[in-house]
Amino acid sequence: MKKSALAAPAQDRPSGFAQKCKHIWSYRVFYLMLIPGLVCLFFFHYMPMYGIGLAFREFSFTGGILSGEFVGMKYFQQAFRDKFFLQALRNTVVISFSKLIFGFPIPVIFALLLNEITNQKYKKVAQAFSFLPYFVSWVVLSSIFINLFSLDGPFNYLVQIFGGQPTVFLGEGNTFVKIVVITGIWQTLGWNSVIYTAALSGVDPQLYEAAVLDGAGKLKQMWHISLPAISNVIVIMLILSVGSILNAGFDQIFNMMNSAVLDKAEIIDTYVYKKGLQEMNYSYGTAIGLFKSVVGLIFVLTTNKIASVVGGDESTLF
Amino acid sequence: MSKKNPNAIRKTRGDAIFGWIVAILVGFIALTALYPFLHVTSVSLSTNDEAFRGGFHFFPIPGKMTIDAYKNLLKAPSVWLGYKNTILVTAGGTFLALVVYTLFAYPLARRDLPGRNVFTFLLVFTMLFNGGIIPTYIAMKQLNLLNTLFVLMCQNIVSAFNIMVIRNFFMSIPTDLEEAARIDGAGHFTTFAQIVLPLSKPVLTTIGLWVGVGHWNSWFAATMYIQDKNKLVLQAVLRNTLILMSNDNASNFFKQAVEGTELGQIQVKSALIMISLIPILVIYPFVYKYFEKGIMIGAVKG
Repeated sequence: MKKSALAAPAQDRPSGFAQKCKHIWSYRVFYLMLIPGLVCLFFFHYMPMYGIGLAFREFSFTGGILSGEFVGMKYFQQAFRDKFFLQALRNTVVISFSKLIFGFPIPVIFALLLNEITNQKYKKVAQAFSFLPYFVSWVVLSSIFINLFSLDGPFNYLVQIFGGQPTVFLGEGNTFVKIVVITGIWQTLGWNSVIYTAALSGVDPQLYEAAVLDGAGKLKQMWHISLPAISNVIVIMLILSVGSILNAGFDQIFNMMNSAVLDKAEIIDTYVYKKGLQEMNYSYGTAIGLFKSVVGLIFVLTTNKIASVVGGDESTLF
Repeated sequence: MSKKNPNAIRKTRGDAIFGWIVAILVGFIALTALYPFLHVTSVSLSTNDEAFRGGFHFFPIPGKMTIDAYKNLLKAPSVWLGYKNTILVTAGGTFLALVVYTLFAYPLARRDLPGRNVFTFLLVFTMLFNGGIIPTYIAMKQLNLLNTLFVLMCQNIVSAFNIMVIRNFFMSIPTDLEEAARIDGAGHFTTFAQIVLPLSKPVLTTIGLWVGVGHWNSWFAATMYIQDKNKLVLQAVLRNTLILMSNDNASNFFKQAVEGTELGQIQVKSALIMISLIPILVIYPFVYKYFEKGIMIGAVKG
């Protein structure tokens, strides 16, 4: 027993079948350790992946998952004739793109501002507060926002102070989308700034001292030292966030939406849920979900490729 | 030279103003992040005339405070049941996940393991592609896991990202330590359990907290897999009562919750939100450092 345990870090390449088996056998403890993970991978990831075949078949309520009749691309064709799906696709891109355009610069700015704060305690506390929303579920956050944006909530109070008419903010499509974008940015602002804050903390303080000697004010230092120091990280983060363009924020929208704003609020994920699970149109739901996964995968791989070209291997996810 | 001095003084004054502007902006952002929570807290503690006053609520007003909403909510069996189930799922799920993660990460941390690339690929591929919700739902149904707390615990039980983070940490442990243990006659598993795991406490705490908060906040799996009222987790109870207000359970819930008090629904709703938030808010100051660390270890690629 002990001998084989010691033999494991085998530098000598095994030759011959018997030796190879012996070599592998010496790792048996490690393989045993892999088993729970492999079992979970199989049941929770690969078995569902096998079920994707359903996108090309009718669902059979009596037989196994793939025992229904093969129908080829029927459900994909159906999707592209389905005006609600096309609408959901458009909404997804609109919401997600707005979040990207308006939401991307804010954490960068926040990190730059934090970097200028000299009182470390103030900085820490502000940072800790800004993180907090990231750790609260959208069920809770949505309930709060539904409240804040309701007819008798504080935002309508503000509107009335300025002489406006109270409105049901979340009951009107375009306003709903704006609120989704704003609250989405609000939730992730602090969290997304961490990576920039970390990059900024690595900047050599001598650079700032030199700039001061050259007569550069704080704004100039920010522009000429801090920003260039994190520009690489910014580019990488931007490229990577384009990769998740089809994720408009299911948790958020699913909990905030209501029937009055469906035409603007329905996104692919909520549509899959509705068609697939609520209306039990399993094959159609699977097909739309697969469409999203495949397009999303292409986006992620492409953006990762670009990021690795731009920033070197260190900057990619894989 | 003498001309430079007044210049320098003006600059510091400019810097001081700049400093104030920055501090105010940062303070404003921090306050914005905090406001919704201040709002629910103060409304949940307010009497009717305060709670139904329009406008912003920052702090509960002394003299216009009541804790009736909390008192009544704590009498509601569904809240307790939700709490119990959430705690079970969070504790069980985090424990299971850490066991699976560490057991899986350790062999992957060995560069010489035959077949290492295959196992790594099987793992990382799940990051790129998944079955989607419908096939996953059907798979859980076939496994007879619907309406069990176990299926909720198994959410995220193999997370490629988390496992790779732990693997990277394991790889950074000097091999001399492990070799020394083995020379002393310890087997691989003993080395893992008695040398490697204790050394990995920081990373395991971070990941554990991460997974734990995920379970605490998780609601979608419960929405999808659980119909049985006795197995609803807290987030599902919240969703049913606060967001899907139209159904009968919710209105019954609120009828009972405001019974015998002068309260309106808004305080009860806010108190319900607070009840789910309090554990997060209480541990947050102590663990937020770990969260911050979390994103940084994630940024280190293996």
